[in-house]
Amino acid sequence: MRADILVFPGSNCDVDTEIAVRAALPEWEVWRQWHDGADLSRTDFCILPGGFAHGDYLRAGALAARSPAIDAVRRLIDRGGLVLGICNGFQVLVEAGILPGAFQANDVQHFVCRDVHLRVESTRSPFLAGCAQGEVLRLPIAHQEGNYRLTQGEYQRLKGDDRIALAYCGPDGEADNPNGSYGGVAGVLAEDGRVLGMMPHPERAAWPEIGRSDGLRILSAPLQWLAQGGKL
Amino acid sequence: MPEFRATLEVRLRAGVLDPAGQAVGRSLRDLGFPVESVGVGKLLELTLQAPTRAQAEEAVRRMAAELLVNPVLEDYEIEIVQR
Amino acid sequence: MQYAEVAGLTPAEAEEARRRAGRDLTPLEWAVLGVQWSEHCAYKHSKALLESLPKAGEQVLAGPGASAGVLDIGQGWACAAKIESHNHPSAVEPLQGAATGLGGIMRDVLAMGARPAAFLDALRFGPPDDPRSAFLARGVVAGVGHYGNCVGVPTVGGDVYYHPSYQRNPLVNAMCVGFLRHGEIQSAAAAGEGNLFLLLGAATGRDGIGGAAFASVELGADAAQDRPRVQVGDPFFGKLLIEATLEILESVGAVAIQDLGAGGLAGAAIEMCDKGRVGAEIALDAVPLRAEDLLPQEILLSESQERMLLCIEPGRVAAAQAAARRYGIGAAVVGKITAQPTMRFTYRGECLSELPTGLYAEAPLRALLDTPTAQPAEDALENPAVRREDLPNLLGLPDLCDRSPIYTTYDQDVGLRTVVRPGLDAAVLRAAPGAPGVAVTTDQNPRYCAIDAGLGAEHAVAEAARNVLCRGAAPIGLTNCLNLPSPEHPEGAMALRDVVAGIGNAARALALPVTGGNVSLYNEAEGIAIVPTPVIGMIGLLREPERAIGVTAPATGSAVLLLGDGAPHLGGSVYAEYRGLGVAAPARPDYAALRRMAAWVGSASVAEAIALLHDVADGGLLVALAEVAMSSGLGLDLRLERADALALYGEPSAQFVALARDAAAVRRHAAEHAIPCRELGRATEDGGLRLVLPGGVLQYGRAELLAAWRRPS
Repeated sequence: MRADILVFPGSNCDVDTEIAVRAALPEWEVWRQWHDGADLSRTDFCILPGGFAHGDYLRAGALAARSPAIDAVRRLIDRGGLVLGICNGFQVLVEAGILPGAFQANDVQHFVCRDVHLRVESTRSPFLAGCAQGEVLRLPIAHQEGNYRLTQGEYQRLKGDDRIALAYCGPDGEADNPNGSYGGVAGVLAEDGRVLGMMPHPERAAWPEIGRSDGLRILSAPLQWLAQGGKL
Repeated sequence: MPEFRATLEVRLRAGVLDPAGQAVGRSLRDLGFPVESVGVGKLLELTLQAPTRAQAEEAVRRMAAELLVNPVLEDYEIEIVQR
Repeated sequence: MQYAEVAGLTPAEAEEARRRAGRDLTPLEWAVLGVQWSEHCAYKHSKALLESLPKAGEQVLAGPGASAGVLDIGQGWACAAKIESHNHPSAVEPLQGAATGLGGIMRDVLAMGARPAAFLDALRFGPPDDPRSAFLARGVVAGVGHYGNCVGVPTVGGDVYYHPSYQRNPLVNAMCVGFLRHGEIQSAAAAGEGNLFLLLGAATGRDGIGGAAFASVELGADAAQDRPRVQVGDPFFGKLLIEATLEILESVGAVAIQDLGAGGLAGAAIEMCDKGRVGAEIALDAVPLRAEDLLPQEILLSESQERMLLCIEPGRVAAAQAAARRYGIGAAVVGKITAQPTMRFTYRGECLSELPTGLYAEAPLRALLDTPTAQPAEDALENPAVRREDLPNLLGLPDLCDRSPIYTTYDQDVGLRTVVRPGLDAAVLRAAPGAPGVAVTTDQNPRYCAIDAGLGAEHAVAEAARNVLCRGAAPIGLTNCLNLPSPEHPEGAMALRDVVAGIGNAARALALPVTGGNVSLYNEAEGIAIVPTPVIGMIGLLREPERAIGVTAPATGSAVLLLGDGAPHLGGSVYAEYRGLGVAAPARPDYAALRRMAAWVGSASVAEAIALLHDVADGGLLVALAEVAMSSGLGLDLRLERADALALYGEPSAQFVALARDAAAVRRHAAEHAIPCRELGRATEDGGLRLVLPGGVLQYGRAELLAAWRRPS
């Protein structure tokens, strides 16, 4: 089994993601691929990491979404591969039209870096196979443009299709929202559940030895999915 | 009192580095567009009341000087239209 | 004579230059000399003094003179660290001033071959109710976040203080910490006749022309008119530069490398040649330009950001350029090394200048005034009984209140090296998961320095040492940034002497090397001079950073212990200022007590016995206890023996509050190391403070403390 991390100019969480994925999927091959000439034909799992691809100039993720590497991502999706977009990676997937919605600046008008709690809203995806419905996870966020916008219609449609994966909440699952995202949405799935975009950083919480390990629930999830008879 | 619409075009001053412009230009060229340079600025649109057009423009210049424009890095142009 | 004056040189300096050259200089040469012989580049007033600082230590792998100091942290790992100022640009354009300050110090660490791993920022502003100070503070914080977050280096520490003397002269001191393996340490000494100079990074424009000279002149009232001199940083490009540089150093190899900072290409080339005792021929028309119409002099002195200069063997140039191309950054051959130590600048084949390297590099030093200045009279301070409202009032002061509104706008985690985030005392970094690491902090107390600059400098070192000890790390080295007024006035000259003497005293007493640093003089504006501000960046060693104090939360029921000596004083304290008790100097730090604490921390597995360790500093014991309660979420139920101001709000130099995992072990270790240890009480589930005092009980609920501490900024 193989995982590939796509690296754009300005991605800055790619090495972190590689280290965390190696820890989460110890028997898998893990590669980092520069966007220019990226070949995803042999991968089962592609991750678009956090950072400031192309400086996030113009709009967050806008310039990276026009890279030929995104065509390779689309082909992987057509083959049924897994794609995880983390933070800037989520923004790139949205700009590329692979996931719905749009991003704006945080409602608090500044960059926010702190731990948040997330309620697992859907478990039908390979990425959430290790979690229980309604479970609360603790992960860090670090972003300036994390305000995820949906129209009311889009939100209802996603909710109805069980495509809202994660929502911001308080430590006991109560309502909370660090950046103004519509409905407190922190993570969204593609129709077949095999693409997940999420704003919090699971790779920064893959470290049991320092008490931050809920990210492993997401990064190791492909193993649970396979164990449950799921296909990759 | 007459109402005016002012458009303030804000650009980086000549010689100041434009990281956004450079990154966008690179991406456009990578997509095959023959652009030589790109500058990224901003557009502000204000509506305000003033006794005369000249006073409206004067007011917008003062707003630019006090808040809207960073004179260390930016230049601007004002266009005023009576509504 | 006119060119020399415009370049900022004194008549005596100009005369010396002509004597060494054997002729008059050309306008281009005066311009280069003006920058190279500026205070900012040449340290004319401070160089001799700085030689007196201790620099030897068994962990020192690179010391003063290197782009950044490097310390051995074990298992083949090393830590590069340095602090630098960017004060004057931040007063004019705070966002870009702070951003380019971070970019510059990051490149210094990169030039040692280290991957930049963390920033810390020591910031000083005028009072928050002054609109201009508030504007500068907002801009600087925005600039730190803008650059750090995008370049992908976390900001994990620093401090902020407010004082009227900084009102027109904010201070922005940026520290960068990086990690590397021993075999990767780079040199900055150009060498090898026929080797080439490769300019790596961004194209060159008009940024900051004359910036170094700009930093050496006091800011006049029309500083906002100094527009062309402000540099703009591009953190996205900075990130590409980090990756390209490290890849080239690792897989291609360079003879030497230095970043382009003050003095631009001229500064970097001259310094690299001077270190290698060689010369160079630089073709200015080979420099990739952002604007076509730059004059040769402008090309030479431009301070455009995100550029590095490499001395590289000709056979390796193609590989280096291929690597640079992959990242989309420039890599142009702009010169070659000559054995003869002469700097030759050419443009389109024409030689514009030829002068000895040493002429530029060895600026005549300036004698420092030695006029004794009057010590201000000290008051005899009262020691009143405290009042209930004192604690919430102190917690709400701008110098003590919650800093999380600032540091949560910074990415603190990118890179996976941050083990303990900012909050209390010092951050903890690991070189990599499972590798050794460090505790890092910056410290300096303006109140102490305003009263006695030398003593304040000693306390800055002591406080920084205490803060790394709080993480279970023994201090192993420090970097310093001296921010001072003009040395041409008697008070400024004395302040410079005093702070250097103070740092030297403290460093020797604690057996710590000074691995390098920065001096920023002429920090005065409109006739008001800043309080002497010697900022100390301290590195503490952690063999197992993942087990540092602060990784695992303390438990309810933990014993609360008071450890250490260093009798508290009200002189210079926050309480004395708040209560109007008068002005008196603080006591000298108790170095013996700090050494005993460092010996314990260096020897035992402190984190097994202690869950939380916090030093008593600004605001004294009650403020420290409140900070422990708020940070841990636990309540503290304690009995204290005295209720006077000195006991509760006096500021000691070697005292710590501990929440123990194993109180018996703590008492045993303390006894072995002759450290006084007194049990004050227990940690409870019910957050807040309950203090049983001789006269009665003082009680503060958690909500009350937090509300006071989180005052709107």
